[in-house]
Amino acid sequence: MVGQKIRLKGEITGEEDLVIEGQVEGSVVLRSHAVTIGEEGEVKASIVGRTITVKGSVKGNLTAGEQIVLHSSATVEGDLTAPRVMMEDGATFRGGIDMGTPSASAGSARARKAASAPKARGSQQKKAAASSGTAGRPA
Amino acid sequence: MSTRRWRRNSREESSGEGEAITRPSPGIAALFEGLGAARTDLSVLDLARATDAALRIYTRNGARWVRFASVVGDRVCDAGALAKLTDTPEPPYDLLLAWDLFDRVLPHERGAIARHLAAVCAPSARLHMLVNMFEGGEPLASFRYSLVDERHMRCEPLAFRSSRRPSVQPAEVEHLLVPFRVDRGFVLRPSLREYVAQYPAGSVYDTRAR
Repeated sequence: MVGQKIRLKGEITGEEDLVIEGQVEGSVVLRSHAVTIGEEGEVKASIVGRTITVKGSVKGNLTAGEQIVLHSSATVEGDLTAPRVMMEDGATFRGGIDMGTPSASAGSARARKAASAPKARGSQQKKAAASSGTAGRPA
Repeated sequence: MSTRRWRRNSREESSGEGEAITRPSPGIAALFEGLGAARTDLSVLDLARATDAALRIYTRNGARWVRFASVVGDRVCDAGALAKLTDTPEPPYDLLLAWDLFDRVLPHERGAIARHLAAVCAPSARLHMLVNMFEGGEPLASFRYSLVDERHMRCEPLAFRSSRRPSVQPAEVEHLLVPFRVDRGFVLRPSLREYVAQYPAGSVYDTRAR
């Protein structure tokens, strides 16, 4: 457990469950274990765990093999990747949610990025076409 | 028509900030029409506050990826909404829920926001938006909107009232949303309009690879 008065910077790895009530900055990787951010916990880190439960505040991406739960007191900014994501009423969340399996999600994220790349170029082409007065003309 | 009549026609719920109303939403019903069975890899961009109900609705309608990006929060946005919106990553989205974003932002930002939404959507993407109607130029109470199910939305009154900035007029909507094509429009009395638009696959604007 990281207690309320503890401030930790760096990478946390290990083989047991973790409860964070203090401040953590960096990364938390406990792939086979539960990670809980308590109501007083403030985390600026990416978190990887089997299950991730948030009651406090997190800024960073969360990846869980089983599920992510955001309680009503949670404030989260970042992307969530887990097969199951639950949010209580009152939880504040801004970001994306990928409900595939974490390993597949990494692939799908890349696929999305690749898919969006020609689109971004497309929108630039549209802008360029608009400025040259050719927008909307059939080829 | 008075707000009282609206409330009589809706199921009322209690809320910390006033009476939350759950009401039928033909626009939401149109948005989800035919989804779910067809695909299981939809991407959703919801420009409202994240809720568990919304997440479950998207999931059972085939969403694989959901992004909640409330760019204005529970307030009128004076400036910068577009900057916050463009800050989000851009996968091609199949469903876009803009809610009343266009009413909350400065009028000169509306066009750019619509163009950005068009640029991040997938071919045949569907867009849902709400427009508040003002009575005699006097703004009505503002609401926070969220999904209840595939046919209903929840309207929670907010502390602030809408600004006096001009609301999006019915005649403006089609022009504002180009290249989306407005397929459906609904008047929800007393004070709301709903639109469902589709990004036309094969549009001359569609320069992306399919």
